[in-house]
Amino acid sequence: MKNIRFIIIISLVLLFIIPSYIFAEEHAKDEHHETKENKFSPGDFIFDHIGDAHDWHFLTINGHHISIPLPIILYSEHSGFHAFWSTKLAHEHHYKGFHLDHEKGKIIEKVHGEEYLPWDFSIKKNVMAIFISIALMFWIFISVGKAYKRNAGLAPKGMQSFLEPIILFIRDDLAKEAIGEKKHERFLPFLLSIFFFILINNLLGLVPIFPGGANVTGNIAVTMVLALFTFTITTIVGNKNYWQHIFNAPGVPWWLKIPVPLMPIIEIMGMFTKPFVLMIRLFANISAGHIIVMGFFSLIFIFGQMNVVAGYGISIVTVAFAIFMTFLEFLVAFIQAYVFTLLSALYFGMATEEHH
Amino acid sequence: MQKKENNSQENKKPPLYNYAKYSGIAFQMVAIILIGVFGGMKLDEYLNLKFPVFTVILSIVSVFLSIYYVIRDLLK
Repeated sequence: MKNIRFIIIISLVLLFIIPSYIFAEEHAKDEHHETKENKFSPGDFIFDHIGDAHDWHFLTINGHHISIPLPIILYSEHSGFHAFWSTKLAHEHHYKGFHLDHEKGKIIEKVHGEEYLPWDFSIKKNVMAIFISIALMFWIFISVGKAYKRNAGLAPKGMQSFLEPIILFIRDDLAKEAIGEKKHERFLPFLLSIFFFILINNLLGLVPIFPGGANVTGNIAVTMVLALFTFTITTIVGNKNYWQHIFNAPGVPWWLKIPVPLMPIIEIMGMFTKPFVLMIRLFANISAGHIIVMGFFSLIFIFGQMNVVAGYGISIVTVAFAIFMTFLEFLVAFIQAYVFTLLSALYFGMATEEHH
Repeated sequence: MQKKENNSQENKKPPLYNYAKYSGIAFQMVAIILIGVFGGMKLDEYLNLKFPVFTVILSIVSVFLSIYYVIRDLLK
């Protein structure tokens, strides 16, 4: 599956590079009667969609953007706190000296002709998406919890029967295997929360319209915080045996520890590379999926610019491919949520392993 | 028969264990090499050296270190 994905990414990149060379030549020829703004740029199109934003964009009709406004909260060292809706900054508007720099994607304050970066605490698109997914999780799990009380001893119903096998799978096949019979229970709340948080956000990311469409788990800041949780818990619960393996690994010749602590340095680096890899894997997998699907849609416009008929023709192929990729992404959403949870559990297992 | 069962019990790993373990190796190598090169560059900058000794040494060391990590993970 990884190979297929790799081939698709490479061929897409080539597809974008080759036409851009062809276009570049054409562009040089008729530079007089074609402005740059009319050109469709797949890179901007894709990164606009997978990036974070100050408003939740729906669609554009004849150049008119329709989007949900989100609150902007700023702290400026010059003028204190500000809170207003993102509509105030839409269409390159300036408000109270603030304006949105689209190239940097940041809000900039202008005071006496000089530009400053204010502290930006805005509820941006991804934060809003996280709030929505949290509300969704509360709703699902509280209703399922109530259902267990209501029909105690009876067979599970509805949402219950969908979630029960997943939760049991995580407990029995994942936590018990990776952490051990005795200690797995204290990690289960974290493991289940992180699994469902990643899963729900992965799935919402596949929904093209509101409340989906935000790329939460494909945002490196989000995955970094998730990996940081795992790292912090591993460090806190680490027992004597775990730290001994790091600072004074048994079975390692003494000259690797004294006078130059080579092995401890290597092990400490390993402590940090593990959560780093966790962060990158989730981010890369989800972003790659989004980029591929958006890339297929970009093809329609690239071909459409060459020839309208070609654009319509290619749209049949690309939509078929995009549907196929979306099914693959559906699978990846589950796999990546599972893998993140599994690796977290393995690290907890390593940290709490007893000497034997 | 009994022995075989015991053996499979011991080797029982969660599903996709191998995928989880090996899919991060490339990222791990990249991370280690980046730490080495970046650390070397910063050290040279800090010490104001004319010839970037630490960048050269640490980048080479980190490449070997990343290979060492892969081998260690494979043997585990």
